[in-house]
Amino acid sequence: MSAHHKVEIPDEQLRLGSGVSKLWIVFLLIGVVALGAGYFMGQGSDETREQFFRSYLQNFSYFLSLAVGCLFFVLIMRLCRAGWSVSLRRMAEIFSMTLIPLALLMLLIIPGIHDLYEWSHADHVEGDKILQGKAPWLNEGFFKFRLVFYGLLWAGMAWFFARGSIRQDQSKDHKITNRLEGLAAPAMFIFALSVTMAAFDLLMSLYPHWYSTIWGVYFFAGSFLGAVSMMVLLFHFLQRTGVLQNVVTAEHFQDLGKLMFAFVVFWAYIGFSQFMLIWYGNIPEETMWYKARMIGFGEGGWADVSALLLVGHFIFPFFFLMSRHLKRRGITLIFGAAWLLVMHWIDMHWMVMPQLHPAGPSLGLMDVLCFLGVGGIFLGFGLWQLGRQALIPVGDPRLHESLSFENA
Amino acid sequence: MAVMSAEPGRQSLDNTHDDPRERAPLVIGHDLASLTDKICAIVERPGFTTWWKICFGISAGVTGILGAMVLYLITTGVGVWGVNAPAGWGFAIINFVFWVGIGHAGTLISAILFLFRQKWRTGINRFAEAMTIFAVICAGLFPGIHIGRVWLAYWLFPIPNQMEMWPNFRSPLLWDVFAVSTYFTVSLVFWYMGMIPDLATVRDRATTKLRQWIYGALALGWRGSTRAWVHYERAYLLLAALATPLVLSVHSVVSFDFAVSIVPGWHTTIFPPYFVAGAIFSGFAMVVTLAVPVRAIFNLEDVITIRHLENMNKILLATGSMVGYAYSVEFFIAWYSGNFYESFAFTNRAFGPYWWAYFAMFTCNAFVPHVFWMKSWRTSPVRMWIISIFVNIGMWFERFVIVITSLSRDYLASSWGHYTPTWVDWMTFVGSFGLFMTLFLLFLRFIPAVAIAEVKSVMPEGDPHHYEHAHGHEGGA
Repeated sequence: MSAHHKVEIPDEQLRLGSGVSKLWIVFLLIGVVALGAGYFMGQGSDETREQFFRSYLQNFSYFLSLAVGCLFFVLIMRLCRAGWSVSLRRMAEIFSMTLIPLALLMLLIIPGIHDLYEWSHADHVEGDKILQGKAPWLNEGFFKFRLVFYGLLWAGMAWFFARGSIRQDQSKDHKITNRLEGLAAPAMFIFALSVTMAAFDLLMSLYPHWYSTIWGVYFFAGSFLGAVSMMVLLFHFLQRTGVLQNVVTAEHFQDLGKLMFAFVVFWAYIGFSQFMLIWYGNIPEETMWYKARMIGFGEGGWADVSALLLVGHFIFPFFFLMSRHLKRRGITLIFGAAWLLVMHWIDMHWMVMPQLHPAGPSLGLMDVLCFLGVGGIFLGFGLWQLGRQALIPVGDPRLHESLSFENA
Repeated sequence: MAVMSAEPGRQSLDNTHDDPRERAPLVIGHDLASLTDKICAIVERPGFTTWWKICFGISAGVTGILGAMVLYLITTGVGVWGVNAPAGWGFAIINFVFWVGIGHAGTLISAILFLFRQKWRTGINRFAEAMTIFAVICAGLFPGIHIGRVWLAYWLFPIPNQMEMWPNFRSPLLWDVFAVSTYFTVSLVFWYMGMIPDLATVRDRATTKLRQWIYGALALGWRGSTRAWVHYERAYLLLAALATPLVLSVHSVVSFDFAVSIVPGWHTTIFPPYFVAGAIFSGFAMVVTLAVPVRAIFNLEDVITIRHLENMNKILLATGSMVGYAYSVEFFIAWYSGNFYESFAFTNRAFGPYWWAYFAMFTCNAFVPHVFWMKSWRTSPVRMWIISIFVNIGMWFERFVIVITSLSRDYLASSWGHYTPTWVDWMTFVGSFGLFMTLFLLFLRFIPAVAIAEVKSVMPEGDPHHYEHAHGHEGGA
């Protein structure tokens, strides 16, 4: 164990600067305005409404995945009694709390159920034996109930773990650590099941005939990758404003880069498992999902997006993140993280959109508005909460391990 | 610190406290020299102890049964087994998957836990890795003898030949050949390389010429210079990075054996990660099964502490839950899919003629490990040993359920059948445990069972600044 260096950090290093702490209002305003504009523009016709709800679902799922990934970061670090990551944990705690506004935003899917989900149309279900069989699960009432349930559950979990940590800032009571570490185990249990089911509900049931047992794991893999990439960007951004110097160091960034690398590979492994097994089995009811994503190669069809994901979400970041040097340098890691966040967005787009635009991707104003809408509220809420707390868990008994952490 | 008392050697062996202000020590009451003495004494003791001779005799005898069964099989034909249409895969494949799975814990401990900086892994990695090697040997035996004409086993490899005979590259069975042989090679190199400093230690302490000569040859001229250590640590890191994807790939490829087919119950996308989780689960159970008696026999309670065991049990709980997750998702999707054959496959598993196997699997894997939510069970060697046996049994039954229930009843009801293993099947399976234990006992007798050099690196003295400040202060590791 490395020596206990008593590191004295000036207090202003641990608080958002006054300029930044007001930024949240801007983001929140952008979010609300963009989302409102999108919603009202969507009311124009059936077509625009469908487009709005699709784009909304995609962007909602994107930011939901980032928040869920942050919650996982909190839980896994608690569960493993991690020392190195303590000074990074507050960021994850705060951004997992965005699950509170996201729980509300989840309700905006409800008016779009008919535009999004085929199984919600009674006339479709009537002539379809398979959909009839699924009706006990895929029906409007139960679906709405589940959305509310996921929202409450995650918001509650995120709030609970963040609140405990924030309380410790003042009380310095190490028993809080014990309690949260103990509770992280059952929380992980609930997390795994609820995220899986939510991924089935929100994204897999877009194709109600299609199914894949690995779907929840795929969603999770992208989520955690996105969350870690986002944390890298946020920490770099904060350091540019002058705070957290010598608190979050190249050592931490290197380890976050390692996690990104690991989850680039894990994402590819899970994606490959799903694709290869379906391709090899070659059963029409399974291949249809990939068939929709393998048309128009070289012609701006979805096959191009599939190829882009293979190269941009796996091959390129795989080699890029392998380098120790690139992970430790600010600018290169920022590039890698931003790249992966874009790729994760494209992955989400690729999951949701081919149904609406079968010929190929077509980005429009609605995509921009929904991205700014959900993203603005997400970032605004996160920054607001960040401004109210210390930027690192100052009361954590393992903080010294994180501050003096070095990659051996 | 609670654990340390004034008299070294008389300290409490309980280091399972969970005080976040201080990391618990991983080695209790040893300095560098006493640790070396303790581990080397196991290897250096002259002659053989009675318990070793008894165990070795039994294991060797059981290995003899294995040899007899294989000989009987080869001279007579695979008809001596219970395999027949429709269940063309029986015990051989079940045992193959079972043994490959057992091996996974060793690689997880040596590679993945190394990358995760889990210092406690040093206490158990040497013999967990040894277990990996021996388990893969047992695993490799089964497809080897399953192919019918064993004298043509080399046809498994794509060797250029004048007959233009090639294995089918589209078959996951061939991928298995590559995956398992790569896995075996890397694991063996990793294990051996990690052992070199310890072999040199035994060489340097040798009192006889023969011992000096043998361990000297095995230590490959290790002198412990700083330069050598730098190379050693770099190679260790690289091998860990290479072995990490292998932990996932081997059992993923094994799962492809099943999942690429369109047999109901086999063709499901979660199979690769689910098999990997199951493999680590079963492997850790076997580590517990072996570690508990070994640490008792050799009085290693101060090196493989209760905290080590507790951590292993936590991993058992975690991976057991992952397996339970996969069971549940599979069951849910079997219903959700609306696919008649899928849902039949799963009801047939639970309520069909092999319900007892399914029951054993589900109980042992998805329910029993949950006693580890209780600290009293995680920290009691006797209790955890019993649970680990349950998990070993459950994981064997998992493979039985997957292989047999799906094959014996698939799409066409008129070609359903019932698989019953013969006495040869059973004896071959039992015999493979003999082979495993024989190799393991030889390992215990002749190779330092704990990685001495690695354990030292997690002791307070292993800290480069240890001697600079607070001389004599015994900090946690």
